[in-house]
Amino acid sequence: MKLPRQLPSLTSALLIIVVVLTSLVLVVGRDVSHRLTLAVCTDTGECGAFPQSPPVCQYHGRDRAVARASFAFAQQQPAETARLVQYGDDSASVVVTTEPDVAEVYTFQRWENAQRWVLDHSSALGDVANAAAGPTGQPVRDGYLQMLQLLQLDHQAAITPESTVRNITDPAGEGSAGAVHTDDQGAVTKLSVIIPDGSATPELRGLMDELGMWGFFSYTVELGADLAPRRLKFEGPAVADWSLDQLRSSHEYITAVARPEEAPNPQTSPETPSILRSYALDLTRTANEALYREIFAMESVGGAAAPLLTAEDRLSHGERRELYTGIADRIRTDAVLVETGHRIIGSGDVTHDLLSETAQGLVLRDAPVQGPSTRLVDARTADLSIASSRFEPLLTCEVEPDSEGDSS
Amino acid sequence: MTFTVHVPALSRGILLHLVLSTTLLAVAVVLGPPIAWLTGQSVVVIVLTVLAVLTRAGVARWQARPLWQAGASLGMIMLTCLFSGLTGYSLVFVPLNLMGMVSGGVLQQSGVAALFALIIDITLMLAAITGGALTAAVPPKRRKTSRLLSAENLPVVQQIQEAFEENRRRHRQSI
Repeated sequence: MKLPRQLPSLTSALLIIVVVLTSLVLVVGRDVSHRLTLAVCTDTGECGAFPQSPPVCQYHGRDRAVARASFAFAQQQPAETARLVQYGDDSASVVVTTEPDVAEVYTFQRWENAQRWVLDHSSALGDVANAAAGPTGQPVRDGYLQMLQLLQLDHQAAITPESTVRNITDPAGEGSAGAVHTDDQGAVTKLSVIIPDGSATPELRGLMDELGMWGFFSYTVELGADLAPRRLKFEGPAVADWSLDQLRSSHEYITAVARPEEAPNPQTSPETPSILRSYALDLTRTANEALYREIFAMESVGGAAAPLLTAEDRLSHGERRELYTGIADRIRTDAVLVETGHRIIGSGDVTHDLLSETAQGLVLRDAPVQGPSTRLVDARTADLSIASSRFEPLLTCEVEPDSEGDSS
Repeated sequence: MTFTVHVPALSRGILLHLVLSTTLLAVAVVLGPPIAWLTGQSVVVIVLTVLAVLTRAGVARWQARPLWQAGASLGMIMLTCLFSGLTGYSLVFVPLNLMGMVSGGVLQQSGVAALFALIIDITLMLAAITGGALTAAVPPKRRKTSRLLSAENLPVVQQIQEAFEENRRRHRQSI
């Protein structure tokens, strides 16, 4: 038989070179693939393309650090089961609903990594990479991503969820809603509760007036190891006719407010229809922690111990008024105030209901809730622990001429 | 009855299937997602599957042709082609498949189904190679014989056929 006894050296060398080259393409081509996919699908709005990060003014301060890590620069819902949130500090989270009212939260230090992860794990693209091995859908894509991670070529291709989040109903009386985050050990790491003004006590409505909120009052408690409190945040839609001076000058007991007959007047504008006002307290500070211990009690929420604001239904009017006055005092003394204005994507008429729904979606942004997609268009912050502090713009770096009297 | 493979052809075949598998994977990973957004992923899956079948058959045909022309037995040709295809496929996809099963949780959820899918894909790949090798094993001249069988050409054709068969017999005896 006249057959070649060995491979022609040139042919085999070429084949080996092609194998090496295609292997390199597999490694570096992933970025090209992401760019191409984004170029194709960005206009459809269905692939969850993140916008570029906001220009944040380079001004150092406690309020800036808190604001950047907390405000949602962009949030969108490319699919019913996926919600993408991009934060001001370039981080991002992806909330994937796994069953009704339950979701897993994946967090990324860089939103670009989240973008890649979303494309890599998109159910609309999953079978494409698998088809290289055959039509039955072997898990080749997962193996490819795992291989990149093992080769130290991608650190966040296959991450595990940071927490599991569940929706909770009526955690603070009828009509209230919220979400509780638990880690892989089942311990609560974060709890958010929204109390609509219709369900709030007159004392809580008084506190809302003091803080310049309408529609609902929400609180979020972030916990560390062993349920150690780390941060407490009060949030709500911003009301017009409110100023920082007004908050600072009030040192009396809060006023109990009966249910208002007229609809509140939201702070809004055509460019920024939804404005959210939030006050963050650092619970590692002794005085703040003391207040937290006074107004919150550990209760069973979804089978796990979580801090609930029990003052709403377990105290007398007088006791509640005193406690809420204490909250207002701590806020005007030591809170970081952040106001964020959000544009609502793809909405028609801006109604009270839409504004309230948008604000709720922003508060419960990393929970399995449906909410309108938003983009941050304006933000300003103030560190209330500094006596002479004023609102400082977060995005434009231009000093506001008269921020004290300007609440709109 | 012993089965043997032609080692140089086997080495070349393994390299070719290795190139083919990595190229298919690179195309699926790099170009697959953007095209899938335009056409839908089922279209891309079908195209990739057809492409894989055709190219594997083509490689097998290219690999089998010189063996057949040199008078190698059909068993040796098939064994060489199938073994090289299986090795080239397994070197790329079996490790990825195993890693994917573990990292994606498939192994825990439905290990039998994942194994079944792998077997189906390997069977399809082997079928494509078998088809390609068999088409190479049929000499094109022999298929054209019927068109040459006019009355005046018949003696010449018979002479050619006899010479061809004689040639094959000699080669088989020499192996």
